[in-house]
Amino acid sequence: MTTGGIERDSMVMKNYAMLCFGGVRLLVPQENVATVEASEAIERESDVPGAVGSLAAEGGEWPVFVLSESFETRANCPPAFIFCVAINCSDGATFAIACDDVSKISIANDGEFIPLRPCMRLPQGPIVSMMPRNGKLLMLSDAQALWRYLVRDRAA
Amino acid sequence: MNASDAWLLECGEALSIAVSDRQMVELLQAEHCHHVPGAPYYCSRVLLRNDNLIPVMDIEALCQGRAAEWLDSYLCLLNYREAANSPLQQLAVRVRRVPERIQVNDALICELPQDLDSSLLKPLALSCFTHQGKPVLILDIANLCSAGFRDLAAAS
Repeated sequence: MTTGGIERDSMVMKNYAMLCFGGVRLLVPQENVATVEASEAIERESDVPGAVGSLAAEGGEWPVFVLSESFETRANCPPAFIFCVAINCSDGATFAIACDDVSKISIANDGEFIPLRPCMRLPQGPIVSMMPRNGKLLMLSDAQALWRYLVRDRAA
Repeated sequence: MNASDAWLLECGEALSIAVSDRQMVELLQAEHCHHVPGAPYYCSRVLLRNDNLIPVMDIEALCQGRAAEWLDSYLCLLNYREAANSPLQQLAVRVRRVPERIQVNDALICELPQDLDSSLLKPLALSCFTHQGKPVLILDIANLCSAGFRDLAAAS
């Protein structure tokens, strides 16, 4: 076995869902993704402030959020945002993000991600690290950080 | 009388800072940076350079307490160290025009401007001197990039 083979064998591949909206490439760990549905399935208004509606899937209700490129919540879902990615948090919170494309991406070793420097990391910031790929910056978040960000000004 | 060379960085209207030769690295076009959602308003962009994510600091926004418009801007890449023997780190600072090389001597040292009292720049200001009748601040760049200052700014 070559040294290269050993290195490959020791790599830990991790799967992420890559949500694309505008120029944003947002990665969420695949293990937190419950399902991907068509945005046509957004049914009605949601009780959750900031959500454009609610998605019924997998036996649950998922408030759907639409984000701008600067991660401001939008009031409507543009026609191009044809997918809804339903996300589970470890604490039981659930929500969905609408996007214009979603795909699975496997990344070898989390070490490829570059953490944001402390001066850029607010406790409620949704992005924890980034990775350059093909001229784009992939932004890594996690379900809990995204949820905290989405409801940051709305806590009771 | 001690005299030394410095670079004058115009960060905003009547807002200039000075850095030393050792701190100044390079002048770059501002359009090469990427927005980071959820980051502090004065440090919401990064520059990707040699596999590093370099925070871009907007001193004008910090002084105003809100995001500033980026018209005709450049980025100054600066070196700094968190402590005397710690590794070199880099920071980009948005400037309005090409930096000017100036000479500074002890006779030019002045009090901090009074309008700095209510500004977040005050705890960062190491000293101040006058250049062509206008105050020029020397800032603690390591402190500016610290988690401690981030928290201070977030609480204000």
